[in-house]
Amino acid sequence: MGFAENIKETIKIQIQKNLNRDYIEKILGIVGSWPVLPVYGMTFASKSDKYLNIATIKVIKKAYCKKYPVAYGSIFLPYELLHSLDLVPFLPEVMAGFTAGIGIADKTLKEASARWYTPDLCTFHRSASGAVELNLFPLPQFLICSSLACDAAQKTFYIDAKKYNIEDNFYLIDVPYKKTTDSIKYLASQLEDISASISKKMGKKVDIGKFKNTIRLSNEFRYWAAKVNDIRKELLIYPKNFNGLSFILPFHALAGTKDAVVIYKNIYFELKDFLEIQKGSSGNKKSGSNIKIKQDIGKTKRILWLHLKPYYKNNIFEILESNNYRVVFEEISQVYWPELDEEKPFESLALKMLSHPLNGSVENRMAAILEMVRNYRIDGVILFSHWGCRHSNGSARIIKDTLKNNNVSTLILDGDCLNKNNSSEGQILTRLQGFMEIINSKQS
Amino acid sequence: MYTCGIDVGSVSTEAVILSRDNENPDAKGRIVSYVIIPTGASSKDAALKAFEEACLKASMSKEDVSSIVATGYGRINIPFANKNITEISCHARGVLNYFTAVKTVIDIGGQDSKVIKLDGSGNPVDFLMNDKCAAGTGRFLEVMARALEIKLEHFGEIFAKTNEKVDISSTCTVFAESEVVSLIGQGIDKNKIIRGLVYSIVNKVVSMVERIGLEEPVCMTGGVAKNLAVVKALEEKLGVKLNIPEEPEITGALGAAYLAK
Amino acid sequence: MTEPGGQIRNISNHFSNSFKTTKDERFRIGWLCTYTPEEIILSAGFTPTRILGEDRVNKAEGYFPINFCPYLKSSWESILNDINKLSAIVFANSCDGMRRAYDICKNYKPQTPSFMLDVPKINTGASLAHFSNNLSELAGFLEELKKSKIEFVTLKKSIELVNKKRTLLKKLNYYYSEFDGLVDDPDFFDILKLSMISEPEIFIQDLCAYLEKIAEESATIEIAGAGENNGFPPRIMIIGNFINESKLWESFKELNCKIAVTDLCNSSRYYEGLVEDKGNASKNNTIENLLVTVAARYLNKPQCMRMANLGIKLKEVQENITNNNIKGVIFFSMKFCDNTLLFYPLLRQHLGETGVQSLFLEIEHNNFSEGQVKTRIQAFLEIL
Repeated sequence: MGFAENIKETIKIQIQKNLNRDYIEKILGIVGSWPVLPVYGMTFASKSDKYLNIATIKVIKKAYCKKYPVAYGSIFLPYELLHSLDLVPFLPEVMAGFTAGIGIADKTLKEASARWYTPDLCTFHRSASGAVELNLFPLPQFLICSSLACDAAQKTFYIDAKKYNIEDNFYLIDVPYKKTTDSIKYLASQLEDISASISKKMGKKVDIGKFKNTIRLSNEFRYWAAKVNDIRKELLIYPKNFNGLSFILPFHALAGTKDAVVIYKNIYFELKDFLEIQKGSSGNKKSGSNIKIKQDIGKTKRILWLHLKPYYKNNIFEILESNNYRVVFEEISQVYWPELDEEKPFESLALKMLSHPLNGSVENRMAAILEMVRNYRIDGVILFSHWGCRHSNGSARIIKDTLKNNNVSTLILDGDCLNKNNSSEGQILTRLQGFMEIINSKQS
Repeated sequence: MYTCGIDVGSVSTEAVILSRDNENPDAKGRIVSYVIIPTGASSKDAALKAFEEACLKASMSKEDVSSIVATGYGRINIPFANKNITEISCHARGVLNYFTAVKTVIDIGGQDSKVIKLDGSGNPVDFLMNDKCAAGTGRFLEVMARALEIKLEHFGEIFAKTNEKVDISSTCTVFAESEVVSLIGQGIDKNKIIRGLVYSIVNKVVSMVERIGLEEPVCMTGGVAKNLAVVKALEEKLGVKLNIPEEPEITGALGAAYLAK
Repeated sequence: MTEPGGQIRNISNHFSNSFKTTKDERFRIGWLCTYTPEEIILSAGFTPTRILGEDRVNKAEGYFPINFCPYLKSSWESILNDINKLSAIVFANSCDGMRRAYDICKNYKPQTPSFMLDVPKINTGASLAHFSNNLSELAGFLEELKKSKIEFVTLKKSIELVNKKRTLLKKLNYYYSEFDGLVDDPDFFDILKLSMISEPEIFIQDLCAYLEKIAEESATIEIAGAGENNGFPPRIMIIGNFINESKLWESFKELNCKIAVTDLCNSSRYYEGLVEDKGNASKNNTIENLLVTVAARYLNKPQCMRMANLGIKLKEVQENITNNNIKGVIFFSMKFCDNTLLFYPLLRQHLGETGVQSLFLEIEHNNFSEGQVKTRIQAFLEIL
C-alpha cells in the first residue's frame, strides 16, 4: 500500500473506534492543517485527485471546526448563494457516501433502523440520518433543501432541524416542474426571500458585491468544467483511479469558490496531457509509471454511467477496464446550466436549478442522455439502480426502451451505493459480463 | 379453580392447566399439567387435542376447567375457548409467573419473533412483531442446521468452542442457506459458520429490541430460548443477563391460563 | 380485473343510483392525488373519477421497479386495462412516484391524454399565485379536450357542488366517529370510496337521504362521548396514506375498535376544508379569482405528508388528538411511500413525549395479511 493509502487506512480505523463528532473534528484539525494537508496532497500522483482531496478536507474541516456558520444542503442547491452568505456548506448526502468509504455505514444504518427510519429508504439518506442521530455531523445553523431531485431530503432535513431545535431555520426551495418565465420568477423570488431571511438571522445585509463575485467564480468554474467535459469526448486513457463520480462535492458544493476553479483547471490540464499521450504526439517526460496505454485503444468500448456508484470498495470499474471498457462520461458531470448573469443573480440561479435534467418530466433527462450518447459516441449505458432511489429507477424502463430505439444497449445494474450487504458482488459481476458479451457481439 | 390457556402457533400448540386460588385469582397459581404438540394442518383440531391431553395428564375432566383462553396465530377459530387474547398480552402475563418486574420480553418462536415492553407489573405497553421474515426466527436455525448436517442441540457447545466467526452477509434465509452451502464447499470451518449464523439471527432480534428500547430486567421466551448459543450471543450483544423460564415454550399458554377468569 | 368500487356491498341499497353512475363511461377524467381540483374538472363538463388502484399488478410490473409505490403500480394496471375508458388522466406533482407514473403513462399510453398538475410544496403568497396559474393551465387543457370554454357561472356552481359534497361527508364522519355502531367501519369507507368515483349530484342526493335515515337512528344511541371514556372502547386515531383495504375495515369492526379520527388520503384529506367564497360578488366575477380561491383551499386543507413543513402536520395531528380525546394512534402506510414513512419517526417521538401510544403498521397493498394485522391491532387495543 502506498503512503497515502496507509494514512487513509489508519484514519479510517481510528474513526471507527472513536465514533463521535469531537474526534472527527480533531482528525480533520490535524489532517487539514499546514503542513500536513499540502504534504498529504503531494502523495497523489494525479493532480485531479490531489486538488479534489485537498478541497474536500478543507471544506469539511471548516464545517466541523465550529468557527463558521454551517448550513446543511441537499445536493442540487445553488451553492453560489450559500457562499455569498459566508455559510459553510455541509452535504449530508455526500457525507453519507463517505460513511461507506470510512466503513461506518453499518453503524449509521443500524442507528437509523433503531430510530424507525424505513429500511426501504435510500441509504444515502438513511446513513445521513443515522449519522445525525449518532451526533457525528457538525451542528448547523441552517438547513436548506430543495425538491430537486427527490422527496427524501425534504423530510430528513426537517427531522434533523427538529432534532437540533432549529425548525425555524429549515428552508425548502420548491422547484417548479417546468421551466417557464413564470416559474423562473417564482423560484428566483424564493431564493431572494431565503437569502434575505438568512442574512437577517445572521445579523448582516446581503452583500451584492460578494454575490457578484461568487457568480463570476461560478462561471469560471463552469468554463473549466465544460472544457474538461469536452476533452473527455475523445479521452480513453485516464490517471489511475480517476472516476468522474468522485467529484460530486466540488461540482455542486464548491460552485462559486476559488477552489472549484482550481480543481477543474487542474483536471483540465492533466487530462489534456493524457489526451496528447493518447494521440501519441507527446514528448512529455511526465508520462510515468502510472499511465498504461492500451494497445487496442481503437477497440475500447465507451460507456455512459447513469446515477451514482457504490462508495464502498468494489471492483466494478476494474472489471470494465480489464475488458477494455471505459466509462467515458457520467450524467452527474454534465454542465447542464447556462452561464450565470451577475446582474440577475437570483434569476440565473433559478434558471440553473430549473435546467437540471432531473427536474420535471423524464423527457428532460432522456434528452440529456441522448445528447451525451451522441457526443461521447457511447456503445453502452449503465444505469446503476440504487436501492430505494425511486425518482431514478422509476425512469429505467423509459430510458432502456428509448436507448434501444436508438440502438444503444442499457444495463440496469441493481445494487446499493452504501450498503454492501444489500448488494451481491457475484450478481453484479454476472450482469456486467453478460452486458459486455452483448455489446461485443453487437459490434462484431 | 382450574383455568386453561391454549397457544395455537403455526408450528406447535401448547396447553397449560393452572390451579388458581378462588379467593385470589391474581396470586401465583400452580401448573397442574402442560402439553406441547405439533399443530399440523388444523389449528382447531390441534387446540382440542392439546386441551384433552392436558386434562388427561392432570387426571381431570374437561368440565373441571372453569375457563379457557386461546392465544396465538390460530386463536380465533377455537369454538370451545371462552375468549381469545393476543400472544402479546399472554406472554407478558406468563413471564410474571417466573420473574417479577420484567420490563422487556424477547420471544423467538418457530416462525415468528417479538419484543414486548412491560410496565413492570406484567402489563404490556409496547410491542414489535416479526412474522413476515424467517430470518430472526427458529426456522432460520432449523434450515441452517439441516444445511450443515449438525443437530441444533449441539449449537451451544460448538458456539463455545471458537471465538472466530465468518460473517453471513445474506439477510434472507433462503440466500443465507446458499451462502452457507457455498462456504462449506470452500472448506470453511463449520464451527465458524455456526457462530456467524448465530450472530445473524441475534442481529435481527437486536435491531427489533433497539427500535422498542431495551429496559432491564429482560426475559427470553419461546423455543429458541433453549438454544444456548443464541442465548449467549444475545446476552453479549445486548449487554444484559437474560432471564429464562424453566419451560420457555409454554409462556404464552401459561399467560393465557392466567388471563382466563 | 375488478370494476371500480366493485367491493361496495352493504350500502348498495342506499346508494344504488350513485353506483349506477360509476358504470357511465362517457367524459370521465381520472385523477390520483387529492390535490387535484375536482371542481375544475366538473366545470369543464367531465366527471372526475379517482383511480383507486384496486387491480392486482400484472402487466404493470414490467414498467416500474419492484420497490415502487404499490398504489401507483396498481393504478397503472387499471389504466393499462382501460378501466373506465377515461377521456384523460390528471396527475399531480405530489411525489417522486407520481412524476414517474405520469412519464410512464404519457409514454406508453399516449392515446389517453394525460396532464401533469404542478402542486407547490410550500404554502406562501407566491406559491398560491403559482398554483393558481397551474390551475389555469389545467382548465385550458380540459377546455381543449372538450372543445368548449369554462364559464364563470359553471365554475362557481361546480365549486358549490363539491363544497356541498365535502360538507355532507364531514357530517357522515360525525355520525361515524361519535355514535357507536351507527355507521359500520366498512360502510363509512365504502361511502367515501363511492364519493370519489360517482357523479357528484346523484351522490349528494343519495348521501342526503342516507344521512336523514342515520340522523333518525342516532337519536336512540348514546353518544360515544368525546368527553369521557367510561365503558366505551378507547378512541383511536388512524393516520396514513391511501388505505383502501376492505378486510382492514372488517377487522376494525370485528375488534370493536372505535375510530374517532381518520387522517388518510382517502378520508379527511379528501373532504376536509371548503373553497371559501371571498364574498363581494361583483368584484370577483373572473375565473382567475375563482381559481385563486380554489388553489387556496387545496393548499390550506389538511396536509399530505409531502408538504414541506412537517411541523404543521404535527400540530394538526396534536389538535386532532386533543380535541377528540384520542388514546392511541395507528399509523398505516403502504410500502415505499417515503413521504409518509418518514413522518413516523417524528410523530413517534412527539407522541412519546405526550404519552399517547402509537402502533406502526406497514401494509401490503392489495395483499392484505388479515391475521397479522388483526393480531397487532388487537394487541394494541389490549394495551390501551
